[in-house]
Amino acid sequence: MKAAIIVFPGTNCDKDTYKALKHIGWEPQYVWHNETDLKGFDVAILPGGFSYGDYIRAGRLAKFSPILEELKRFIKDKQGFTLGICNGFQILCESKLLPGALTYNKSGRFICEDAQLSFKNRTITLPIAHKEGCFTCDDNTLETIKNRDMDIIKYITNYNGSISDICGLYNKEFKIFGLMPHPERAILPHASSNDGKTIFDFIKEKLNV
Amino acid sequence: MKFKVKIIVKLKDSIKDIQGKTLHTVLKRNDIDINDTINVGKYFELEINAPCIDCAKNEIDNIAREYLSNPVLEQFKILEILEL
Repeated sequence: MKAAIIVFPGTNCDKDTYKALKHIGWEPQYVWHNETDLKGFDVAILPGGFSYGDYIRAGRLAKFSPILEELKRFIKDKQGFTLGICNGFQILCESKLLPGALTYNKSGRFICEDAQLSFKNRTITLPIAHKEGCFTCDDNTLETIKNRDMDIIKYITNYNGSISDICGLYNKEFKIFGLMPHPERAILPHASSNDGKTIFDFIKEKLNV
Repeated sequence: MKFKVKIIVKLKDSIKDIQGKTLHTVLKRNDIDINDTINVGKYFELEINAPCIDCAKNEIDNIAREYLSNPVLEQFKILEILEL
């Protein structure tokens, strides 16, 4: 599994993701945001962090990086799987590759917890660490999400005020997965949970690799 | 032609303004008599080159819509366009 880890100025979960993927036997490679080629990759990952320092809004300026045009091509051609984790999910929404938007947590606080979520009919535990993780959209968009070919991943306990407890969205047709929790932080032996592998196994399964 | 532009971006009324709510809590704690309708936003000043005022307006509208705001959450207002 060849995975491109796309790095923006301010990304800070790139190394965690790299180490986690190496640990499960994938072939990760860093791709700087100014680059324009994702050919040969099975997976494109937008990792967590603070791309462009979260200036203007979280994920806003990253959507204008050259690699985003190539990512759109990667998605349109159905070349592989796209995963956006935390800030990566924010970038996917800002770029309109997934619907809705992520805004300030209802509590106004930065939340750092081991979150329980429901994924594929089981409860898994993944760390969350965000201030702008409250998923928001209007009623029409929510209906569209529910009716469309899209999976909703939900928190068991709604930590941040997200509409319908949403912590992740998966567009089945184009294999675009946005997730606020951090699966890469629940892989290595020292982590408090090893459930992160469930997410990466899911990706592998969807690609039939 | 050169224009100076002033733009504000703030959350839509339908989106809860957490920063405004927090500021309200702090002001109340300091005995300031204030209504809870506090809106926190961002202010931008920029200079733009364009062949005419209408061209400048179109370009500014595009900048505000695409770069400075997210229509899911935010609204923007062009406060002023000054020809320099």
